[in-house]
Amino acid sequence: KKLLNCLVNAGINCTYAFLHAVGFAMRDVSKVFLGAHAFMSNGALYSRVGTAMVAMMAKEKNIPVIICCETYKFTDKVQLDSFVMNEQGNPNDIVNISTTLAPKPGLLSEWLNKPDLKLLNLLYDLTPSKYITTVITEVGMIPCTSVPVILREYK
Amino acid sequence: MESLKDASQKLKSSVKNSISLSAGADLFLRFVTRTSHDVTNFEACKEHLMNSGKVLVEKAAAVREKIGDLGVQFIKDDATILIHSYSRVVMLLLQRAAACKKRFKVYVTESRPSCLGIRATKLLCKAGIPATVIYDTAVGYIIDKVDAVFVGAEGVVENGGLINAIGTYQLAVVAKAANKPFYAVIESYKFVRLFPLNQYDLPTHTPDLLTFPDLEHHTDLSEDEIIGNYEAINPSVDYTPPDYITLLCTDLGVLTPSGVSDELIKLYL
Repeated sequence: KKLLNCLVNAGINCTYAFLHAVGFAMRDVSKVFLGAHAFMSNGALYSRVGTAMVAMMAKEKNIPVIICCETYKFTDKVQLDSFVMNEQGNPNDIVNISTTLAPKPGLLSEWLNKPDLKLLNLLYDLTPSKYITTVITEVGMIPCTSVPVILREYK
Repeated sequence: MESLKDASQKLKSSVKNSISLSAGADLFLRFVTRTSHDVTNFEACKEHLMNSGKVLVEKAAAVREKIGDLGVQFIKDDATILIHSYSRVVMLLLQRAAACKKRFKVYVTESRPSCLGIRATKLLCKAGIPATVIYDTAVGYIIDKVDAVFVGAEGVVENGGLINAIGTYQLAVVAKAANKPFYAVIESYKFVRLFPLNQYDLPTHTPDLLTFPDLEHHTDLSEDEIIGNYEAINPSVDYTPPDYITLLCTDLGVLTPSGVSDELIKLYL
């Protein structure tokens, strides 16, 4: 919503949609731009949860996926999936189903009272390198498999 | 330096299909800027520039021999090869393989509109290698009979993709679908600092191809006039993404498509 605010204030025509509608929205899309929290040495992107889904959808339709990432976010680590390392957010954040500013709890509001129910709010996910077309860094445009090369050159 | 850059720009804009030319020119500029710290006066600088130019030209010719030696290992005895259009490196490679007493057959695509495939076939037959011309459209028909596909290139882009004569992308897609290896054979001075996101990002893209004749308002045109000059608006090169390329044989060694970016970063960053 913050991004939407920024773009609308800059005068750009925007359409806001839920993540479930990404397949439908892809029909009108020619390029996808995503941000990054970190870039692994196997070319995988570690970013906000939902990023991987958008990238995969775009790849299915042969739409270029462009990641904008500074080189200080490149790491020596290698991660193969989203579960090996992740961060849990506050589970109460997913109880609120309101689309306006006023919170409206849904069916999950009594989750603490139900012994068999646990809520999981993961904050990050991993996008494999095959879904990423290019990475734009301050040193230029590189393919995502060249992340370890940049790390090597700058050591 | 400025006049060098201007000359390079002029050269690039004078030739229609200038991708390999721009790659070579950029490489020369880079070579000159990197090695000119130890030169003291202007005369010595000029001398140095001329010598660098000569060295580059000599190296360019010798480079193909080196690639031929490296690439021969991919042609097995009793193999059937498929090549596209006419490429001097691929020709040298095939002749080198024949000289190593390997027996193989070659299918060559006709490569319309240039029809350079026919020229390639004639040269191969003269060298004693059995070769046949096939239609560009018959690639799907013939792919199951083929063991490997070899192509040259006008340029290799930053992500390891190829820019080559029109029809290469189709060939690569068919080869991938049929699980046949797709090898690119290319000199390292053709590594170019472009990063196309798709076909229409190339500097040689012909936007007229995407327009359609206005049939409602021009009912008095003859059939030939409606078609127009389609040869002028059709592209002459296309872009093959790196996912379809198995390996690249270059004078820097046999590289994977991601290795191309490695080499470019070492050179330019």
